[in-house]
Amino acid sequence: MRSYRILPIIMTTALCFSFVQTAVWTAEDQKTGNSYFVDLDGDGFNDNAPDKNNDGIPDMAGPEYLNDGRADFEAEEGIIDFGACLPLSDELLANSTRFNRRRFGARDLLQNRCGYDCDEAFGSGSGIGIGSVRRSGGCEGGVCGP
Amino acid sequence: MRPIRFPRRPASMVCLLAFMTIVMELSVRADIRAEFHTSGGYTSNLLNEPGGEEDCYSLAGASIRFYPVSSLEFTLRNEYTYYGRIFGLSSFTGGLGFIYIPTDTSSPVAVYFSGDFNTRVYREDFRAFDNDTYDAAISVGCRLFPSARLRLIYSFNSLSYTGMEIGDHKTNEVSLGANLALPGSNSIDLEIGYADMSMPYMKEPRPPRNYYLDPFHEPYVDGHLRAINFSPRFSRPLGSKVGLNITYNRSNFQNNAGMVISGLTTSLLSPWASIYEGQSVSLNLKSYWTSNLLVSSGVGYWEKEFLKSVESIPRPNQFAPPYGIKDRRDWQNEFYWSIRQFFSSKSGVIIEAALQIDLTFNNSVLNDYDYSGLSLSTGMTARF
Repeated sequence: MRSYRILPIIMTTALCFSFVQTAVWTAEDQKTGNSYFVDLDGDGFNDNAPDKNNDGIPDMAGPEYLNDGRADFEAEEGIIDFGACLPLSDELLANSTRFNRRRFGARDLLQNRCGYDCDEAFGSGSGIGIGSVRRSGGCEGGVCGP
Repeated sequence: MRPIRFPRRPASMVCLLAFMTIVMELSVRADIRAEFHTSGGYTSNLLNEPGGEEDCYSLAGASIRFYPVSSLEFTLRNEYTYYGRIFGLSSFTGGLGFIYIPTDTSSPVAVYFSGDFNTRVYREDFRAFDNDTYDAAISVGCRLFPSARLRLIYSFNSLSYTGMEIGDHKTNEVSLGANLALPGSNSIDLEIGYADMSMPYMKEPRPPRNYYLDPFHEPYVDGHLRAINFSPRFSRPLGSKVGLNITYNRSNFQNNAGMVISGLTTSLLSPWASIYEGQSVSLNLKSYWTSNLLVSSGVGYWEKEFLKSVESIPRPNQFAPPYGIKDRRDWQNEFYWSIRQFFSSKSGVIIEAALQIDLTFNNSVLNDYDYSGLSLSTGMTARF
């Protein structure tokens, strides 16, 4: 059996480094004001954080937030709850955009953690990695699963 | 000018009218989205066995999504997985599905319907394990208070092999969840679930057969394996660019006494690798280094107790049977580190490049399942 005892140390160091570095950059809690911190998808980020360009990345994580975006974020606090924070006037948007907004509102209904395949949820969600490959024809104990 | 001639056959007329109706009813906002993805990588232990066999793999696929109305999505997808050394394991997957969300984002109640069909075809070496899967789910979420939301999810899954029946199973799962927003940017999500799987299994013999069983001649019976689950999750931000979640999961079989399945080391593609009871805990970090650079990492620990299975055993003499019933219990540690970079153009094309490292250590009471493995994967996705 091959041994990779040194690799967990390297990995843990990398994990700690990535955590410490980003935390030091902006070492403060997210300001939520009177609104609620809602995290239906469990990624640790406030689902109600503004995302003006709809790219799935909260604006506060972008460089613009560190410069002059704080005022916008704070101005939108207090009116946000478990409902989606996205704008409602979408008459001119394509169906795909409008559908994705509905799916965002139902983001906690997409997958349950309990069940026989609960370990599938572990991972980066990037769709790559050995886990995703195994799910499309993977192996265990010398044999392979569907 | 020649007059338009309608088909004389009633069936053709009906089809024509239905087609025209659909086309006329389509909203001008109906659109189609496409996605192409490809990935490749190296793994030091593809088969997850003590010896460890290196291999390279690649995966390519495409999908088309059609949105006739704003509440409905149809998907058509295909994917091909290729293995370098174990070429026969390469497979093609095709599928189609839909998602229907009738409720608007402003509604306090969210309803979600989904259905999927996928078929997988292996190369000649593993053709017996070609399979079809059917998935369906109905979910309802309700916002009780500004800081609490409940959900009820029912899901159905069916796996059927086209070349054999002993691995077929159908699963019905129900889960009830609650998401609570707590002061101080903390969030807790609780979930309890019940799962029922109909599956074929062998009855465990009693002595004096001395726990020997021949999987190729023992009759299979149909039965139900039931399990209950409990999973709390805690999440919160660490600074403004890091998100943290800690998830615990506990699963218990309710009626697995006397159930024996085919062993995982008896040259079968195993449909039972994900069927176990036990507990697990995982910690995940997600951080945005820049607005388009996402770094995530996680570590997990699992205690798994599998169904009793028929395994190959050493034969002390020619009269001894080659198979025996074994209990299997594993302890697994897994680690991943991933970095994803997003590029977007003004025309709306989004390209995502990703790199991921996975590391797995598995210890088991059975030597056949003591293994470790390292894999390195890269991938790219383009969305139009």
